[in-house]
Amino acid sequence: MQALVASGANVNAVRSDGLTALLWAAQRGTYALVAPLVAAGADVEERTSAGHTALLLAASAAVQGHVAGRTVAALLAAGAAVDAADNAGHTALLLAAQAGRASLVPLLASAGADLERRAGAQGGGPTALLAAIGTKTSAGGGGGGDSVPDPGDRKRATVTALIAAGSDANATLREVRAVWSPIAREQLSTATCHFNSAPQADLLISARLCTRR
Amino acid sequence: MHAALNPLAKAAGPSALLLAAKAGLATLVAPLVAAGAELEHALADGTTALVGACQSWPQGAATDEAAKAATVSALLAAGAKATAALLDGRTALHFAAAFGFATLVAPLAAAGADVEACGGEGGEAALVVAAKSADSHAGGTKRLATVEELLAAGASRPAALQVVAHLGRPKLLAPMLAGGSNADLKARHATLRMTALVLAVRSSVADDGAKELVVRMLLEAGADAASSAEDGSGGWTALHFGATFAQARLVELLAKAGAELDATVTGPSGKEYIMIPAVNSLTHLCFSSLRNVRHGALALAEGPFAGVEGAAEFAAAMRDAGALNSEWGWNLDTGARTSVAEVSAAEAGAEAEEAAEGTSAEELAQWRALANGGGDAGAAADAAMGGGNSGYMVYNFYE
Repeated sequence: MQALVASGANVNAVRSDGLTALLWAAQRGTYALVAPLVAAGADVEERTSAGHTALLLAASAAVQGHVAGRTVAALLAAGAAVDAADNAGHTALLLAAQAGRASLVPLLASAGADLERRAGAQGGGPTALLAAIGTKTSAGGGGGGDSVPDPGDRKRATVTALIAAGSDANATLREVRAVWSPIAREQLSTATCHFNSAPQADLLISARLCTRR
Repeated sequence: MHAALNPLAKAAGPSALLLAAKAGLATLVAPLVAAGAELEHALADGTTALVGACQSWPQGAATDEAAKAATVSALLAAGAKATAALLDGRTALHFAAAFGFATLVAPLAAAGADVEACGGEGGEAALVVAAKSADSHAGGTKRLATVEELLAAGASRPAALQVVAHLGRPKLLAPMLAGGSNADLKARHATLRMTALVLAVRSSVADDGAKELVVRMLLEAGADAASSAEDGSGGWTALHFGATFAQARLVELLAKAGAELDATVTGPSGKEYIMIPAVNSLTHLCFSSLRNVRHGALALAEGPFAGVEGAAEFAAAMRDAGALNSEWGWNLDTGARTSVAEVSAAEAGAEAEEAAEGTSAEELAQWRALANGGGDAGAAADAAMGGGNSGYMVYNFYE
């Protein structure tokens, strides 16, 4: 690749699927490719169709912590915007927190990442600290398998790192979901059973609740 | 019931500490608190981290009771208020009780939780909640262990004793009777005004074997076999219920324990019914006899039961009670006292036939309503006492 770059190939060429070489490399977490591309002047602000910059892809790539760390550091050093958010409002810090990548937290924080930035297109989602403990940001819908509670050390390490970086320990989720509250939930489940068409109820609570009651 | 609380109202969501507590992530508690997390941050309904930590999860590590115990201990060590309650009064102990988390009880009680605190729709204490808990919430040995822990923490017995008697849960009855007093047995249900013994015999939810065991245990512990319901139900004793619902073995037990055989009950209009001194295999006649004394007596004298052992004694007792020669009976359908002459021969035939077939569910329901002092109130009280955890859902955090 270095040979190609040296011979004048376009480092920002776009594949048919919209990915530049840098985005492709960042998605796979291959530091060995990201570093020379950045050095050759690849555009670090190029985005995928979902709004991910190379930094966001690197923060969530399924690679070992130290590799991800080097990749993220290289992108930050090349001037990648630390608070760039994808179309769903996730910054690199939020993605790292959600994925339990404790080692990325100090890197992103020292690069000036906004610790209290909230996920969600309208900024109504969790802060990094709340995301680290484990929530789903989108209301409604089933699933949940991707956010099964993880009691492991990763969660603890991530929370500790976020606290050390100065996260507000008293931030609260803004969305009001009946799931959090026994009384509200019981009221709502009765309401949904009786008035199935209530739109807010649909939004907040899944139909499963009615059958369980 | 909690109309003031609008679940859709703008309110603060859960904090990091509450999320960690709900998920049973004990090791996150100390660092969060050290970083200044507010221990008593509560949702609009009053759920604090400690209350959240005692709620149940359908899956994942947080259903692990050990993780819950560690989280509760961490929160208490950090200074969380053990008495924190929801708007409806339910505390951490209530949730631990409903889900059978026995190991949470002692640390909560030691930290000052009030074992007598009442909460939820029925205004119940934790021991009642534990005693009623559904198998789906506290199956296996969890319920018994939780009840024992609550008793050890000094929870008062009567209300729970009545629930256990009604539900027919002899395993729970043993520890309750072991450290209890006779006053517990004499205490009456708040709305039904019946003792545990009367409730046990009257129960429609306990299965026969469990019911008999419960009645036996209560009598051995010194329950008064002659005690009747206080008001609203016409002086029904345990024996009346046993006879009405044709429970021969219970009637036998009660009679041996000194139940008054000739106690009278009054109907809804205040008129007296004659108590049938039911014995042995003839108890299944009692219902039809009560329903219409003359028809009962006729069935005894002429019907298919005439040859049954004990029939002579039964007939004699009825004669003594003035039943056999009486010219009246009760028409339960109308609630009116009717003269025999008014009952057509065709009707009498049909009813004797019916009596011979046994008691229909509908008739039993009528009698039950009568015994409850008129239907709805009794049914509501029954529902309130019934097993289960309607107010204690499994909280799926990640739904």
